[in-house]
Amino acid sequence: MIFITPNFGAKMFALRLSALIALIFITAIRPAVAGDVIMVFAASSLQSVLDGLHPVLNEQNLTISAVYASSATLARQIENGAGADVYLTANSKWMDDLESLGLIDSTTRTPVASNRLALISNQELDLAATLGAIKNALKESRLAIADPGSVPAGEYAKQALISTQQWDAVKDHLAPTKDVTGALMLVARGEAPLGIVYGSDVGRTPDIKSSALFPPNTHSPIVYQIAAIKGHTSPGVLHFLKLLNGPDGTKAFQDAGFGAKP
Amino acid sequence: MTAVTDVTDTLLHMDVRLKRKNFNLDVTLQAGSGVTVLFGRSGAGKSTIVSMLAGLLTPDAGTIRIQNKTVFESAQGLNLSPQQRTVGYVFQDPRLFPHLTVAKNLSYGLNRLPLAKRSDTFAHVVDLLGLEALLGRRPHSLSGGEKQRTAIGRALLSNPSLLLMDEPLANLDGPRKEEILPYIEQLSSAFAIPVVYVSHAVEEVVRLADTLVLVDQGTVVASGRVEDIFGRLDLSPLTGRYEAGAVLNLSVDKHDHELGLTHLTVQGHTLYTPKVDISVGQQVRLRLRARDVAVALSAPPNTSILNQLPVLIKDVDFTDGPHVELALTIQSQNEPSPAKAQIVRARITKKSFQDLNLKIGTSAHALIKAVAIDRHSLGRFDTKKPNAK
Amino acid sequence: MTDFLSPQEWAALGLSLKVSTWATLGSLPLGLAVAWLLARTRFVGHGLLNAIVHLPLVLPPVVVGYGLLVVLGRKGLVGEWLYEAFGVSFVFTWKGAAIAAAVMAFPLMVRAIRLSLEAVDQGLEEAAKTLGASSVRVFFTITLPLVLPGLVTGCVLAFARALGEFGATITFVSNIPGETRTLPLALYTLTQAPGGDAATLRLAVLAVIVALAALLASELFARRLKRRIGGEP
Repeated sequence: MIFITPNFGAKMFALRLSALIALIFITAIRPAVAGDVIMVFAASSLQSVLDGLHPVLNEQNLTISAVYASSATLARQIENGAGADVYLTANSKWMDDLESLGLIDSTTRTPVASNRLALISNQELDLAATLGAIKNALKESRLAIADPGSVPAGEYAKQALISTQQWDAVKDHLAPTKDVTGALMLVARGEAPLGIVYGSDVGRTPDIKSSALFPPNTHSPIVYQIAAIKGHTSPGVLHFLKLLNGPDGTKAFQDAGFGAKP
Repeated sequence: MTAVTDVTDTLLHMDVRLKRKNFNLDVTLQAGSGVTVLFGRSGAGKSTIVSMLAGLLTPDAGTIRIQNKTVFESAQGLNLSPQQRTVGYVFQDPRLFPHLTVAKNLSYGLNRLPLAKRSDTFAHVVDLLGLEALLGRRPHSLSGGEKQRTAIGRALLSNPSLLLMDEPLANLDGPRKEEILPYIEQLSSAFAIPVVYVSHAVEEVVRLADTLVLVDQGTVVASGRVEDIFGRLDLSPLTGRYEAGAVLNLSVDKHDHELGLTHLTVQGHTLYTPKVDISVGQQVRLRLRARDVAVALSAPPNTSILNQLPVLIKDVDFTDGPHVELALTIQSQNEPSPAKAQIVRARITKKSFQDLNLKIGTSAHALIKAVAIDRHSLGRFDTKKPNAK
Repeated sequence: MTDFLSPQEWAALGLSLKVSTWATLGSLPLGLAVAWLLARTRFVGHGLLNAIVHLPLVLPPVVVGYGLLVVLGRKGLVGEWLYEAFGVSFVFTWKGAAIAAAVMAFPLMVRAIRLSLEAVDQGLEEAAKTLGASSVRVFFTITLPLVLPGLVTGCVLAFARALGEFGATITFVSNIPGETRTLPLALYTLTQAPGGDAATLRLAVLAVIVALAALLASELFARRLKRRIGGEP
């Protein structure tokens, strides 16, 4: 599978190869459907939002086909020409990346929602007090967070821990998961006594009995951004973007536990 | 159903029943010391019997006793496993362990011998079977004959109280069989172990059997001396149609080196055969094919047929075809004693039978061409060591 | 040479080798036992056992990882008792990673061993019995030596599968550097951050080399074994 073409530099080759590998880690894929269907590439945590929008979309005769994966995986697919129309991400890093490659229609790039960071437990505890004293509360166990090296939720969590001067104390006692859902699950099952997830995740399972939000100034703003892929700005796509930006979209985000757009 | 004759010591007693979908086995047999050959057509049940003796197959009901030890008794729910039975088994395919050398194969069962006897017995067996040169080799590099000799040695060295051999020569060609038969002939006497030997080849019977057990369709049809059973016309369908013939006991009188002949003696008469490599005075068994025996009312002079034995017609069997099977008793030269008289079988046309007006009781002569007697129908050489390879 | 990879990458490689080796060796006895049961016995539930053994091949790895959490997690069905009685816990440890890898690789090992067992001439085992060998002795002196090439194949397949194990591992024991971040997890982490391409490539090449080396070594070893047994070149 290694093609040696003299015109491609090493970087392109590396990019292609790593994209190939990235493709292997896709968690959920639905086949692309031709026609008037809008292909939406969305970060996994946004699945409940888009599901909640279905009735409205039907009303307005919009059909979307959503592909959920990590923001990174989706970005790589877009880089390699996957047939996405819209990119919806929690991570501005990847959006910036795509924009610098000229793959995004910058005019359509807008923030659509925000989120908070929450410390959670499956016991009924007063976690507000624990926000600054996580290490003690852990005792011998670990703090479940999404992998700070690769998952946006994890990066935000790391920022919050650094801000609250706890990073050094806890950094060797982490359980970094593949995605935010993984961290949520570890805490819900009691394998980890505490975890850091999005505010929107708290209500997803009744096993989470208590939570406390990190002050917004402990981390970069968690902003969900949406943009159309360059060259894919059909009327349907624009319509969809308008919808997400409008009251219906806002409601859908709110219902799913997300915060208002900044 | 069975006539057990001439078995003086019973070292093996077997009385079992086995029922399968297409097969019904009901066998009662005894065997003494020496070689007992189970003879019969393919599918008669011989291998099944041997498997049951070894403990690899369990009868539905019955008893098996080997050297006074009961190894199977269905009434008591007793069924010893193969490893408990101390029965040596030489299979049709050598079944040598491919990952072990010949020496290691041979000594696999050696732990059943008392420690003191092990090295002597090992050397004895290796010597007897001519295996010295093979000891360090692997089974895959051996010829068919060498493999079987090793398999025999391996079974012997496990200190068996009974040695089973299931058509061990079936997968070997003529020369290989010739190579191994002499070893087997000496086995029983050299080791004083009773041997149960399965075969459907007449020459193996002639050369090896002390007792012959005729098996057909899951039962023992007859059991006793080889000569007696081969002499019976009623058993002809089982002892071979085309190759049918009686077995005689003779002794070597002298050799005529100039003319290349050997003189054998039976009941005072001389039988000429092409020269065989057997010492004078040795007892031999000879099978004479019925189709090689002609009958004349009087000994014809001026004929090339050397062997002319005076006989009495004992039994006649009319077949469907143009033939008639005759059983003839040899009239002794010295004293007429019908009880000890040996039997020669002849196959002639019905026409001749009628033209010569033959009947039971008629005196006649059996004519046998010397050249019709082949080496392979002569058995029971002495214990002179055969050439290896 | 140490500059080829960063310390974390070396750690990931070392951890991968440790986890895969333990996963393979640890599941070998059970793999042999199960292969024996499937190849040589008939009992009610034989088909069910066969199906269960093959589940990890068929289920998504993340599901298997979740199953491991349910059973062996600190609050799991068996794990809770293990922790309470012996203080033993597998989540967040390399041992848990080894267990995840072992479970995913188990079907491959069982298949290879079973095939090899079925190919052993049972006539040889019968012969050994008539020579007085107990069933145990027959197994260790006849069956096992003849099955050895199959065992090696099974181990190597399992090792290779364990090396590449990702989904069940990251779900069961998460992605702790130095403890559970094996090569595949490290690779994944790199692909999720922009700019990690060169490192990803390096690590990918490394993973391929390790797997190839293992497969080649086993091929040679198995061939030598076969020669000892059957004398074929």
